[in-house]
Amino acid sequence: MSNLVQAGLERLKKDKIFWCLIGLMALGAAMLCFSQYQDLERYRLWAEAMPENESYAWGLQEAANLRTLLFQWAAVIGAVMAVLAGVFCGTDYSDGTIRNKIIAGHRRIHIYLSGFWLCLAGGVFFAAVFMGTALALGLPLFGWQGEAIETAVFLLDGLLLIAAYAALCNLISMLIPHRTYGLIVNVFVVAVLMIAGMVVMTRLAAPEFINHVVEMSVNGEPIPNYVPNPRYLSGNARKLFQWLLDILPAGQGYQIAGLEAWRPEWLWLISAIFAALVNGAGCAVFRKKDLK
Amino acid sequence: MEYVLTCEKLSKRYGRFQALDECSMHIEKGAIYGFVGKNGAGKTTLLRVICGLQEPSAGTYTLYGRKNGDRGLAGIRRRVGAVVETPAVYEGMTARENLRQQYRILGLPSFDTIPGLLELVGLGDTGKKKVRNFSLGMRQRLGIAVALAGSPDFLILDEPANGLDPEGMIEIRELILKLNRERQITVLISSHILRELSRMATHYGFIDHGRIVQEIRADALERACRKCLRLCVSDTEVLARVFSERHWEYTILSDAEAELYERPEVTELVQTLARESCRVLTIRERDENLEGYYVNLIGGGSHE
Repeated sequence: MSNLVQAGLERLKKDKIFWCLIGLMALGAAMLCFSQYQDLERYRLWAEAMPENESYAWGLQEAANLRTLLFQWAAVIGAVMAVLAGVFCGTDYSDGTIRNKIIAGHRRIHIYLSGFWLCLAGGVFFAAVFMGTALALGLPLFGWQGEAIETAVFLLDGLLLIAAYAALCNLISMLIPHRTYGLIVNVFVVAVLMIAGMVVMTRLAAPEFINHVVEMSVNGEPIPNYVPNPRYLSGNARKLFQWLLDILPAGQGYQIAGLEAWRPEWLWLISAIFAALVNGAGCAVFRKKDLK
Repeated sequence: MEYVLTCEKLSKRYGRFQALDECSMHIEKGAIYGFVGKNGAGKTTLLRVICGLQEPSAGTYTLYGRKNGDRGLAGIRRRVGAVVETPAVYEGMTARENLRQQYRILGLPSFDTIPGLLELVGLGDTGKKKVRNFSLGMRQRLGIAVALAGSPDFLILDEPANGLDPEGMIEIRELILKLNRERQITVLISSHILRELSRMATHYGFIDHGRIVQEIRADALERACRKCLRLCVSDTEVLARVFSERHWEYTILSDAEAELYERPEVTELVQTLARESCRVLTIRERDENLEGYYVNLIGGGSHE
């Protein structure tokens, strides 16, 4: 299998789409740094003008930390990997070169898994470029205030999240013997996962009580009246949604991007199990697949 | 007889469609095996199965002594190079880059032999030209170069002359003959350009409706196709006696028909037979070639 991975890496190095995606990740990181720097300057001005306002002080503290943008790649890595897998793995079908690998005597399971390793390598490279750019631009601007252990746990979670996406995108690309269709299905599936993750995240983020203003004071100021939020999830429903958020790769991505997770020490394990199951199913189907 | 490939009752079914129906094939070492059949007869399906791209529904094939399903077959496949359907090459790469890819896939330690391989297939001067800008003939030759990257003993080519101009066909033919003669590579070529095939094949296999109808050596086919007179007479016993007396080569086909592989003086022959009370009803000269043989064997029908 190492021969297949080496050949794939050599091809990846020459792939224009891959370099375009790398450029996008670097650009995204740079733009986030720039945007956060603008926030930092804005909050600094406001905090100096109104030192008694706690929200400005909190905003200043958040904007002055690189930690909050270092893992933002996790929210979009699925979409980027879907494009990479769709184009890169799909080319083996569209150009017919997957035949060369089988005719050369490589086992199907190795061909399938080499695709997974290449997607994983591509994903790791995307994340590394994003983080490298963010660190290069962000450290001088914001400094670093994160905890090493927490960062390491989220880094591990992020790595295994990439593995989960690599398994999913590789499965789709290897089972759909048409590059364009493979690409479309890949992007569609990841988009559905991202929307589902967003819906689950939004439901979980709903506050338990909401300020339902019904009365005004005599001087015209609203009188706070906190009432239970009907959209707030509680009990088993909340647990179910929390599990859903952890299981969905996109849900994990949002948690890692925000560095806020219910079970950060479990996310990597869930992703590893997800990747193993998807790879196992993919290998079983690909072994029997008729190739043209 | 040492066989590179044997297929025994190989079948392949796609849903209700029987693409291969108990197909049996035998390819001798050193042969150029011309695999002939109509479009949809099952040629490419058989090649796909042999190459491991598809699993047979039933039956077995043996490649260099290893049956399908044997653990060692994957290793044996390294002795095989193939171009199935279209040349399997990366469109966005140059010829050299494509070969580098195949060398890496095969785990070859050095790329030193790439220029020689490109020269062999006549692509030594393509430089940085991407495959997407290659002509069909150049792609075919690059496909063959990729198939030759692992120095195979057995080369499988699916319609290598398809879509080529006459010059391109000659180049491919010369290349195949060179590989067979100089490197002793056994070649299996599927084609329906029979005239081209007849110029290089040493053996033929005819396939129709997923079944091998006949396997025949080229010399046997040549004998079957050679020029002769086909006589329709009233008594073939008399005819046989007359021919035997003259030490002529002939074949009695039926009670009324015979083939004579000589050039007799027809008037004298007819008079001699008449004296023996054997009437000559018709005499036709037969000059069959591979195409005629194939049409007679398969029974005509539409084919390209």
